[in-house]
Amino acid sequence: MLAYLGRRALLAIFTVWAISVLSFVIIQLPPGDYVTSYIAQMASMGSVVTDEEAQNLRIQYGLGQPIYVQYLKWMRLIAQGNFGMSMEWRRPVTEVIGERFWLTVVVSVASLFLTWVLALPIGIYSAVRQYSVGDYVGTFVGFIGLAVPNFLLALVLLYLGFTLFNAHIGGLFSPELQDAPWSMARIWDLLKHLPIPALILGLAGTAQQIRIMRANLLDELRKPYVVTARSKGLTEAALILRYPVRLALNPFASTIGYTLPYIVSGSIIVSLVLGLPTVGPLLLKALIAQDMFLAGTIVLLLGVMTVIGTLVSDILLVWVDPRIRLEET
Amino acid sequence: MAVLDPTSAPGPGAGAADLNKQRIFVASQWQLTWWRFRKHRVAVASACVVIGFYLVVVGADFLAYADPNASEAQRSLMPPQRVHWFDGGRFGPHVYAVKGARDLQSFKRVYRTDPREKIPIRFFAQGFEYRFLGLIPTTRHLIGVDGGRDAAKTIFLLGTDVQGRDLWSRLMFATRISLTIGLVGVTMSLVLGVVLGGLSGFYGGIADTLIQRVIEILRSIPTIPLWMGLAAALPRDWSILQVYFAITIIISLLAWTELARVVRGRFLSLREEDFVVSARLVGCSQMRTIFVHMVPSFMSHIIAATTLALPAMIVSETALSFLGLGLRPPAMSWGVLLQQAQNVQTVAISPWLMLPAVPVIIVVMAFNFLGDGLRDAADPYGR
Amino acid sequence: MAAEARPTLLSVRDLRTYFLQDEGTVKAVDGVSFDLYPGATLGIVGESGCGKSVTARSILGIVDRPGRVVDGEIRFRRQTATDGDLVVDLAKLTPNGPEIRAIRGAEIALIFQEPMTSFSPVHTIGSQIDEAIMLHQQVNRRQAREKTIEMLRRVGVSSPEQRVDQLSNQLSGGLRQRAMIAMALSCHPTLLIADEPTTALDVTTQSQILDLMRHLQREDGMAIMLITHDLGVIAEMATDVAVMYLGRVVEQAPVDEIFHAPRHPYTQALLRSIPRMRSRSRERLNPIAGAVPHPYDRPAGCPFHPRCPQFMAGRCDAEEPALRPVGDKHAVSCFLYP
Repeated sequence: MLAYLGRRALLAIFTVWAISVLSFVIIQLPPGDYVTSYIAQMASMGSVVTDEEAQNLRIQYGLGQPIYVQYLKWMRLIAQGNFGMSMEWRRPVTEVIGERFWLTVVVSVASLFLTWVLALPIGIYSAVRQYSVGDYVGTFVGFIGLAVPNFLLALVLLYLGFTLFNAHIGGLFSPELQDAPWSMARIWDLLKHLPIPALILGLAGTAQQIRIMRANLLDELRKPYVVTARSKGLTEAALILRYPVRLALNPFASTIGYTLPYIVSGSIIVSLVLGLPTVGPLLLKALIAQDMFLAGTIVLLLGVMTVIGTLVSDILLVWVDPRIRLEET
Repeated sequence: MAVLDPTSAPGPGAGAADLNKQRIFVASQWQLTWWRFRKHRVAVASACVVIGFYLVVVGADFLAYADPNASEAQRSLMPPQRVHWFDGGRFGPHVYAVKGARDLQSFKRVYRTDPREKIPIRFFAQGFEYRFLGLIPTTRHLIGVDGGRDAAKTIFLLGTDVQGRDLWSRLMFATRISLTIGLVGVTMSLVLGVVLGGLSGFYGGIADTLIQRVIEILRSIPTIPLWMGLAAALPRDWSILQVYFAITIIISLLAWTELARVVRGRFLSLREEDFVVSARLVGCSQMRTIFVHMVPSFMSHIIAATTLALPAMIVSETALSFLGLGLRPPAMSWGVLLQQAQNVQTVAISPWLMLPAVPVIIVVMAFNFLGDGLRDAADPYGR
Repeated sequence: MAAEARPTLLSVRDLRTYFLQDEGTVKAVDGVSFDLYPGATLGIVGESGCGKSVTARSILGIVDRPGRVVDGEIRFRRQTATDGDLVVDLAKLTPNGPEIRAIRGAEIALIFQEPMTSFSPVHTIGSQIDEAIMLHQQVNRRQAREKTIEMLRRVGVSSPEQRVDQLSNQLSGGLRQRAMIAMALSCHPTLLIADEPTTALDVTTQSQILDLMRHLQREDGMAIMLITHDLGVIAEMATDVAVMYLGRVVEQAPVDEIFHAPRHPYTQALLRSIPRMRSRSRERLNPIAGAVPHPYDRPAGCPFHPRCPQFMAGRCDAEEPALRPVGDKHAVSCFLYP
């Protein structure tokens, strides 16, 4: 088991490194270097950057030196907590991102949680009561989730909410609590607004997991050990939960890890449509404005968050499947 | 259940039913797959839908009636026109002429229909010039108006967008681009996926470990931020075609992992099969073993996986263009068309701007059902 | 064997189990009748697909969907502590209801052909046996575990204290089958149904397992219903034999009579088809002509008539013969014996 976890952790580190390189590439892609655009930016505001300041900046960011040196300097700056300056907002990137990052985490985790909570019982029910009305309803809802891209779903729901109920279902907070400091009231407000974005984000993933759970369970239900359990005299409910569900959970648990990147990814666009104060809208604006340090940092943070989430799910998988504990898979 | 033994002689009481069973034994894998596929009514229906869509791709010019780029501020944001099918009891589709005026208080355009002026719709009418299939110059379109009038100024089946361009015609052309981007992207993913997945599965060892790790790394990265970043980095002055291909490459770079996993899985399980081992023992070269013996076994799985990968590609491009980072005007794709529907206020007033979402949803559903049906039919252990 | 006066333990009359599917109805068990006496071993023999396993499962009510017991009686004699003997018709009990569940595992136990897949791969052997014990006996987990270890020792599993915590894939085939027997006998049932218990084992292990079963049977006085297609196993273990074909019992008799005086053409053909050790080389084998019909294509009348060397046109393809006695405890279903 330790060997397995060790490998996963090592892989996670590699992935984070790969993401950092990709983020760096994104930062570097637009023509011109950071300092020239910074100077131009300052000039347009009427302030002047002295040659000395420019020189210092150049050294700090390693400009003019080979790419890998620049990369290393950037890494060192990050290690010190310095993520660079946002040109558009003229403030450190960390300030601009602020609580948006944590809200992204909250929305993503809520969505993931909702996916589990919904997909598992519906999947089990669909498999056990195959071809029943509940099965068809579940499958149908699942197909909507799969067929309708999440941002379109968000758009349609917004439209319906607006025209039918005259309600604005976007956003994570009520207008009065939007910029207020954290309090119990604000947390409660957040929780009240969470279900709809979490559902929209998670619907596709839920649909997929329902199908996987259903298919897995259908496979397991046909297996001989189920008959053995029944022949011992267990009740249907007990034996289904204790044996085939337990076994169907294994591949299920291993796919949860890969739902997270999908959810995080989807949250970007859905946040845009729903107007959520998360990292998504910020990223888009940064990319369009070529505010590269902001954009690159956001990509890096999103990637790291995903990798950590995947690692957590790998740990969960080990807990769920004893076969991994005993041998290498 | 019962064991069918085709080699034993039928007993005294055997019947014609046995001969029918014999047909199954001599049918090829493709025939079996086709027979099983035919039983899936939903999959067959989806296949028809998909074929229908690709017919639109081929005949986009024919199906459109207005120049998709003809913009006219005076026709901005017109709602879809009602088509009246019967004129005085006889079949005669027509629309009412629309007069527009600017509301002096809100400065928005308002439109009224004029029931006195009927504009008949003609089938196979004349319209703007184009080259059918890129070869034959013609002016015939599926629908249009006659009498010297310009269809672009009179018919608005799905309304117009902010710049007054007819949405129906734009939708036809957008279908062409959206569906072909999917094809190009999937082809690239297929090549990458099959090659890398095959190397990984067939040779195993270090190649496998390395490729596996790369795949896992790529799968852990949230795709959209990455695509956004890469797409935003494309120089603004690139031509539409260059952007088109760049977008496809960007999307495929992350999408091949799914196909590679399927291919690798198949190769791994097939490698241990007795028939592969015997092929090697008989003396087949590796190339021959792979292409003659192994590949046909999972061809159908690949087809199914590819069919399922297409909708993802289409949705990715739609998402990117919707954000403004993918294809840009004057290129037309579903995503570009949907860009105009980005915020709720616009959409609340002009809900027809959301219509391009409909083909996206239909195509995704159709491809999913089709892919599922293909996968079930291709499974040699299916019923 | 003066056994007619003994009460039967299990009495099956005209059992019918059908699988209702879209493509047609498969009559897996179509009129099966037999009797099983306490302490005896009834061998049920037949080709693959003749309905032996479905019969076993019908008795316990665990036929896979879409199969259902549609007709017949399954009279089982339960032994209760208070009221003495009680005969229930298992076919009439509520499916998966409390009464049939009390019988499953405690009074009628079932062991399967494939012990590897019959155990859950992620639960230990011990926990699965404990579960069987705790379901039917009022003991706590620790006591159950002690009983499990004791049971494992009884069936010949070495180091049972360690084995108890192992997974099924950590044991050899023979050990797994022993563990399965331990699980089945953990509550001391009066009837053990063994569905092809040795088919998946090599010959040496086969013989060991059969010895074990005979030994335990003698110790506990339980009856065994042994399902197999292997006539050798039948010869070794069974006291009575029922021969099945296409869902019906075609002949039932004590084991000696089946082997030395078979009456039904099918039984005769089966015995003829066994290769003989002392036959000359190049002597041809004697398979039964034809093939087992497709389940949807059941022949009218006697199901064996398309392959029967003594087929009588007009009779055998028109009516179904009933199971009739032809001697002392010997019954045949054939028009040759009206």
